[in-house]
Amino acid sequence: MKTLINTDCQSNNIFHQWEPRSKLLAFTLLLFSFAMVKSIELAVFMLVICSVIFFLSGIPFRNLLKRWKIPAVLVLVTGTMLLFLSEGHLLASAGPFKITREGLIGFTLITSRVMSIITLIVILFETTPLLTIITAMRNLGLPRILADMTLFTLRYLYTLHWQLEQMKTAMVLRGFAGNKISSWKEYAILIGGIMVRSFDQSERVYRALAVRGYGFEQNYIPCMSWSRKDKTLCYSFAVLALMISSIQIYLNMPGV
Amino acid sequence: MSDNEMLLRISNISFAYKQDRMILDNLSLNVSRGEKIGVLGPNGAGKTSLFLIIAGVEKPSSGEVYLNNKLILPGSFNTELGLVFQDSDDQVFNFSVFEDIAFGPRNMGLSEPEVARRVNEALEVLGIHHLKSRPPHQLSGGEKRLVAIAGGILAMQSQLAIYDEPTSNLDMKYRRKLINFINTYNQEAALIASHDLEFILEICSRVILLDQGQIAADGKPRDIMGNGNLMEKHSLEVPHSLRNI
Repeated sequence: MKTLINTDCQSNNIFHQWEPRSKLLAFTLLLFSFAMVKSIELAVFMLVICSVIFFLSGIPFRNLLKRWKIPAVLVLVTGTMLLFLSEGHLLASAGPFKITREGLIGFTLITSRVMSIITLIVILFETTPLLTIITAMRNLGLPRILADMTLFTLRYLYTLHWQLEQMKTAMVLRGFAGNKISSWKEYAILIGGIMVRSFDQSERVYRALAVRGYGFEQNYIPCMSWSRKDKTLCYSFAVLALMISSIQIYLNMPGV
Repeated sequence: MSDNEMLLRISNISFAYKQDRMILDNLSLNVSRGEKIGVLGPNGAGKTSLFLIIAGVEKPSSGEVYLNNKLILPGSFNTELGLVFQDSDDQVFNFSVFEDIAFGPRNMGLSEPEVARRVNEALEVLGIHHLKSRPPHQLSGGEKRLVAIAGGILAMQSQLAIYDEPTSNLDMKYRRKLINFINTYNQEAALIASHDLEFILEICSRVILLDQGQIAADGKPRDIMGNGNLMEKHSLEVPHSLRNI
């Protein structure tokens, strides 16, 4: 759980010091432009940009690897299926397995796109505390209810995780092995118990909020200011995103 | 007692979650300025429900609550009172201690410099300034309790402070810190529910014993808590320090 949400992002690095609203905007634009990439040449360019940003962010590579683990498995499974099941110009074959040019392009595009997008998201979350990101979202016009829901969900994930661990330990101490098929019944009860507890807790949290005036807010939006450096960084990202999407749109045009 | 001296007036309130079982039954209570009242009672006596009604979170089925001669309306925001909940995790919800303590003052419509001043003052009073930027889920139980007090009572500058089981899960160091704070902090009145009878004995000037939704006894702490028959009748025990008197 500790690695799930970064709450302490202290550094003098350019990305750590970047004003969160403009950083969020810039990263979002770049993420969308990455999602549009459909040509191999642009994919290579995208990987280069991504590597440069990652290098500049000063984030240790092991942190990136840690967050890549699960999505990498999912992407590799999907990409491999695409690689072997796509029809088209045959490049190589071994028994029932065929590799086509279209499959290879699909595999390369999917893996490079997803990994670049994940890397950008990791950089954003590694260099900005979560609360600051939510505050920036509020500042950019995210409705308060959505910001609050996000905040509560993330905050109480820790409590739920702790409760789940406590309940599991209590079960293990009473002889629960948890490695049989029949253990699924106990796991279902455990999850049910957590859901009931969290429902109860949500009511108590709401009461505690109401006592301190939740629902009577003066629509407070935290103040944030952009410096010239923040603007320059944001515009650079925006130009990059615009360039990638324009090239892709041009390449999509008939006859090109 | 004149109206000026009286801070809280609870008049004939009844409350039930289900029709067949009354949690509070025609209960009346007056709290004067300067009083620190211990609320004793077995589990399920109605202590927490009483506090939620006073705070305007729950609606009584009958009766009224007045704070500073002003009727407390259910669902209203009453800045004159602060409530510290039994489980600090229910109360400390934000992603930084500063933001959590600032929540109440911001809802009161205060300016940002005033909010910051109140938060810093609350942190200073409790000696937890070093926790200012920490996320609450990384705090110990004692630290969370102090943050809950800072946000629920100090930063709101409440006249009436209500504590629901404030010493539960606290070690001796934080328990002592809490006693010193409640004894020295200049709140106008306090209501404290606790099973820690020695704590009540050390802090409160008056005690009410709540059982089955009614006040079974009201008086000086030593008179009530030293009465073995009374305490036993309501599933409580005489505290250690009063046993040999």
